[in-house]
Amino acid sequence: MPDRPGRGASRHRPPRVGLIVNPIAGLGGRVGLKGSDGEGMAARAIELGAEPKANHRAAAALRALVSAWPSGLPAPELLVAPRSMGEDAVREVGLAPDFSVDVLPDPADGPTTAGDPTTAGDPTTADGPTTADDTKRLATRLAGLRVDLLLFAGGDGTARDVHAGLLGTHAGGATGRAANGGDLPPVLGIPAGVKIQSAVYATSPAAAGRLAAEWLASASRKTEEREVLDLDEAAYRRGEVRPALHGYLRVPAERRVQDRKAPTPPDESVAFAGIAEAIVEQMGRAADGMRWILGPGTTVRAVADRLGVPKALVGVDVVEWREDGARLVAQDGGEQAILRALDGRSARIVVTPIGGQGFLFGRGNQPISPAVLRAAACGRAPRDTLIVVATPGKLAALGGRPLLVDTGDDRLDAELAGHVTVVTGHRDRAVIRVAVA
Amino acid sequence: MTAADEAPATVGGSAASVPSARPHVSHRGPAEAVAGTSSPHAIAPKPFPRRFHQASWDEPVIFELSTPGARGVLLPPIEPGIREAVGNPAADLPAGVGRARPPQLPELAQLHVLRHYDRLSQENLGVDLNIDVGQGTCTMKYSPKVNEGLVRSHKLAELHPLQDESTVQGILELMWRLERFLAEISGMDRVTLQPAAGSQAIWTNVAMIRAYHASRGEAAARDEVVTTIFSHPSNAAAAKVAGYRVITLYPDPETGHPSLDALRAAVAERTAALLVTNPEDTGIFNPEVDAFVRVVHEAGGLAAYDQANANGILGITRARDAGFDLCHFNLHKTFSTPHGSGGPAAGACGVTGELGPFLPAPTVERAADGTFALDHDRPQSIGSVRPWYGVAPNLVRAYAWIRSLGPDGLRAVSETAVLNNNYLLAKVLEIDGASAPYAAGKRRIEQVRYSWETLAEATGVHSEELGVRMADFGTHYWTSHHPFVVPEPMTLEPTESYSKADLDEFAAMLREVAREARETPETVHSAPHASTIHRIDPSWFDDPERWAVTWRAYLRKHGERRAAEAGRAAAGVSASHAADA
Ligand SMILES: Cc1ncc(COP(=O)(O)O)c(C=O)c1O
Repeated sequence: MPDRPGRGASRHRPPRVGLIVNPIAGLGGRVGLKGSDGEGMAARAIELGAEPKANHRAAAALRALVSAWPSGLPAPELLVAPRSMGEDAVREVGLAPDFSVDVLPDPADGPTTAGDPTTAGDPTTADGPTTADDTKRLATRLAGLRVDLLLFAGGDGTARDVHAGLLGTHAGGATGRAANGGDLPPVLGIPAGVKIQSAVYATSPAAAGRLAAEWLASASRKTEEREVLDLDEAAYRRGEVRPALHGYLRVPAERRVQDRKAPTPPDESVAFAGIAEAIVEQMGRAADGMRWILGPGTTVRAVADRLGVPKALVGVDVVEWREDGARLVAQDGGEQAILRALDGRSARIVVTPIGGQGFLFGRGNQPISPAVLRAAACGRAPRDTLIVVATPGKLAALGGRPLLVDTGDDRLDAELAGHVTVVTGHRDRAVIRVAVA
Repeated sequence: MTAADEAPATVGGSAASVPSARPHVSHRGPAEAVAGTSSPHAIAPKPFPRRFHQASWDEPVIFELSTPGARGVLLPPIEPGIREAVGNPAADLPAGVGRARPPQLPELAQLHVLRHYDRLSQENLGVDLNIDVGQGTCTMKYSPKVNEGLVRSHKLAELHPLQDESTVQGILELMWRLERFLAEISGMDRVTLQPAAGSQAIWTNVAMIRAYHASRGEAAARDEVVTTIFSHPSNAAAAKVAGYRVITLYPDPETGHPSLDALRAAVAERTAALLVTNPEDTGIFNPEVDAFVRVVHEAGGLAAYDQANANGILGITRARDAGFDLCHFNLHKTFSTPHGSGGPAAGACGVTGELGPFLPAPTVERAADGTFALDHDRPQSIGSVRPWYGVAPNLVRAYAWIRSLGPDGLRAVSETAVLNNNYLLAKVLEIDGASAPYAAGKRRIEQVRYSWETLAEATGVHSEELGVRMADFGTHYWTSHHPFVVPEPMTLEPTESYSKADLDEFAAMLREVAREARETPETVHSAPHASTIHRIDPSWFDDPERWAVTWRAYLRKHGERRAAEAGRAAAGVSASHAADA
């Protein structure tokens, strides 16, 4: 009976863990189809001889969770999706009796939302296909049951569906605070899909299980917001990598073993605060009435938070700075709304690269279009209007690779290429190469 | 029970066939034979990996060992004659410097003090105990014990810095000569030996850079310092403490060092200086470093070379030859003095004649008649960076080390260190899952920053965990500074001190731990099993409510919990054992 009212997190009750498996995730990879999203792709993969593996990967994560669970703490209570969407993985593991398992009712029995075009047949069960909608509905359901952690096995598409499902539980839509994942239950991805761009996945199923156990057992349960990215699979099959930012989810912060020579750095919030301080100081030195275009992402949101204005986490806002404070002049605007907000005046553009590939323009912040870049520059070089912000950790993850631009305007891309100064902290800057994608 | 008691009766059996009888090594799984370990041993077979087990004394903090009234030394009463002659020496102290209450020092007898520290020393690893190639960037080399005899001699140990200069000519001459040696090794004109650590030496250089620009009226205009992400972070830190904005260059993905174009984009009329390490922490030498210095000079900035670790370039290349204005050495790295673990080590800064006036005061000077004196009258000096003049015992050690080797010996040190490093590089790259990012196929100088990314992706085992597991074999390794630009990093630096057998053993241990990560990952995740200290909870270091760097702060923040634990202990359950259960 999973429909008990949720309880707040407490150290004395068993933690509640939700599990959703996208049974067809990863099918396309081995047979060269680059993903299973899109109608008919799963069936096509099976035809080509693909074997469903997502349940085995989820089972591997559960095994690691069980073996890493500290003795003496009450074992987690698992709330799993039915059949091939979670139940099968649990059966494969054969959990010890102290791990209680509740199987949720079939998602199809719940209230339905509009049909999803990416519906794909479930090849693993005789009792009807699973769909992207099922993932969304189950995520909504598990959020309502106040799980302490939602594990899901799949790929980028699955992360996107989980994100959509969780958002569905909240008013506010993509522009409100809920889009940042701040009020949503923490999640952790078990990698089982072909494409994994999203930063919400652990590095392996075993790593996911272990991290889940350590995090649930820890006193602080610290989380971090991570990007949900998805590629356009049709473009990906043509060889183009086009990740788009869909939102943010909260994931357990990994507590890594302490180093003996260098201390672990304080968490990201310290870097965010330093960056925000640097930008706000810069605003203070600029002309009164100057417009500041704020791109998407948690790093830029820190600037808005510091200014006390709301921020569309996956959208673009325009702020006007005056000595007596900052004022929002366009919220979550498209290209035209931003151009109207600039009103012919020059502006500065604050952007952060999207994690993973390090796209500066062309992924997730399309409203900052070539027209906007040129309008903001007001005849000067567009790159002089840019203020790129990123934490040192985000730059480190690039491993020396350049930031990428793909605005859709080749001449503009060429103008933006070169080296750019990135604000990485209050008195910290980095010089990073920008290349045309 | 000794190892001989539990060894099988057969002597000289192959390593692979020797089962481990001790419970603490049973988790290791089948041992892997390596060359040399199957040779007959007269006393007992020596399987690989070695059956290491470290002492674990569960020793309390010394404050907790205090017994009120216990004393290490009972002083005889002061004789009446002395008392009358001296009076009350404390009477002359200015008001306010005396304590109202005596300090809360632990009270112990001599035996208990000695025993406490002997126990702690057994719970340690260090260059005299293990194959210490894992503490990359720290240049862990053998410090010749004969030099300890020199520094313990009363001729040094009983000197006092306030003695009249005429009575300390020997140590002043030694300092003056050591400065000349380091000037020769770096190509610089002048050297100071005042700093007590590498970071303090970097700070001293930054302070001289600031003073130089101030002397030209450019202190405010030049407010930026450029460094690289693989330079030691003390460069960025020292610049920031001095008020500079810091611009960090990232490596080119092919070469591993920043490109000249990136530098040009960072350097401007606001640039005060470039602070770089070379070879960087990756062990990759930037061959364009002279061009880097030129770009900075053209913009009016200075260039400082962090040569804390010069172990791969002694007698091969010099800071001055690449155009640098300042440099520093860690005497506790390249020049073999003990590291001091944040205690007194020794740094030395070298500068060109142009920067000489800004050196910390006092300086050691030789007069025309060959006598030596401390010169305090240096109007442009940045001032004193440390009381008196340097950490004298370390200066003696470094001097003796340099003298015992001579110029050819110094070059042989670097050649041996580089050879050892490239040998170990080849051995590590044979291990499945290990790589050395950047500059593929190229040799490294004195150290390498490796990556276990492939292994971590396949197994979920992080590099830090492999490093901890190494403790079960009697060694360890360090990962890297943050942020991890090289993912899953491991930094190894085999100096000239290690033999081929040492390097083979270290590489075999790494191979064994990597094998475990694949086959029995829980063994690695739950390590260490045979070491003194098990997992520590690093979250304390992020939490001002809990962290405590003094006993007083600890009691203030944790007094209540301690009292509760003491209550439980009195009830017959030791708190620590209850927590372990
Ligand atoms: C290249 C480099 N520079 C500077 C330092 C700082 O030296 P110290 O630890 O003595 O402050 C180190 C020490 O690790 C180093 O490796």
